[in-house]
Amino acid sequence: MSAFHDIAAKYGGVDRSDGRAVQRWFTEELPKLPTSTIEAALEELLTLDGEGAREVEAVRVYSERRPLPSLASSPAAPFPLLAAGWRKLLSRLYGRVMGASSDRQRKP
Amino acid sequence: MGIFRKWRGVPFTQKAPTASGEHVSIRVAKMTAVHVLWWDSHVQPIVDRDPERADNGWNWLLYVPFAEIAGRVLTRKPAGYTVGICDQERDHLIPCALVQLLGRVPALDDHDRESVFVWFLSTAPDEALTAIDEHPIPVDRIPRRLGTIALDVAVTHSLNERRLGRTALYADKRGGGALLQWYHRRGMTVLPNGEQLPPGPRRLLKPNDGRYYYYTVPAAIEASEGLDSLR
Repeated sequence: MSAFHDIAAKYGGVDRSDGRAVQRWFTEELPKLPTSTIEAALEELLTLDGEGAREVEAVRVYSERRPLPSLASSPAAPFPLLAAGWRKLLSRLYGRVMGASSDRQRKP
Repeated sequence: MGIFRKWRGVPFTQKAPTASGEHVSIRVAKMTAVHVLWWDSHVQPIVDRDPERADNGWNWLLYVPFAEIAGRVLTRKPAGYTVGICDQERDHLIPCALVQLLGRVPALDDHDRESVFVWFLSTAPDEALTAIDEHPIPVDRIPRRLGTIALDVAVTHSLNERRLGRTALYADKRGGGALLQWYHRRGMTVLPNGEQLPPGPRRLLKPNDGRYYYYTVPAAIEASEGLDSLR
C-alpha cells in the first residue's frame, strides 16, 4: 500500500519510506495547503485506489495497544426515519409524545 | 417491496449468525479514529501475516484523515463505517469490519447516474477476534458472513442516500480469481473488459481491466432483501 506515500512525497516532499511522517503530513500539513493543491492530491489518490507505483520498503509500524472502543462512544449509524417501518416509527413517535406528556405532568 | 426499499431506505444489520447457531448482536457505527486505532494495533498486524489477503498492508490510519479532507474539498461524499460486536454488559464495541466508501461517483453501468463506490473494505480474521486480551471471543461466537454484512453496509448506504442501491468497487488484484467469484456470488455484475469507465482520471490512470464490479438496482435490492433477517 504505497499510494499515500507517493502522494505525500510528491506534494509534500516527505520521505516516502517514513510512515509516521506520511501520516503526519496527511493529518497536519495537507489541510493547510491551497484548495487546488488538496484537490489535485486527493484526485490522484482516489485514482490510484491505494495502489502506488512502487512498494514501500519501510518497516510497518503499528499503533500501540489500545483499549476496545466503547458502545457509548460508537452510536449506531443513523438511517432514514421511514426505514424503520411504520410500526417502529409510530412507537417512536408515540414514545416521544408520551415522554413529553409525562414531563409536563411532572412539572409543578 | 423493492420500490419501498428504494425510496424509504433500509436499516443496517443488527445481528450476525454464529457457528453456535445463535445470533450475536452487532452495530454499524460511523467509523471513528478510536475504532481505527484499535484496528491498527490489534487486527491489522494479524491481517499482515497473510500475504494472500487483499487487505494485506493496508493502513487505515491514513484513510480517516483522507476521508475528513476529501469530504470537505471534493464532492465525492466519502463515508466510513465500522461493523462491531456489541457487548452491552462491558460497554464494548469490538470492531470486526471496516468499510470506507465514496458516496457520490458516476455509476459504472450508466454514467449519468450516481453510485456508491467501495474504496476499502476489510474484515477481521477469526484469530484477531479470539485473541483479544480483555475480551476473547469464543470460536463458536464469532460472527459469520462478515464480508457479506460489510458489503451490505455499502448497499444500505446507497439506498439511504438515494443512490437506489447502485454500488461499485474494484476487486483488488491480490484477491485473484477467488475474489471475483465471491463478488459474483453476491449478485454483482462485472464491467466487461474493454468497456470504458465513466469520464474522469480513473479512466486514464486505472482503466477497466475486468475487475470492476457493480450492483444494478434490482440486484442491489435483491441482495439487500437477502439480509433482512439480520436487520
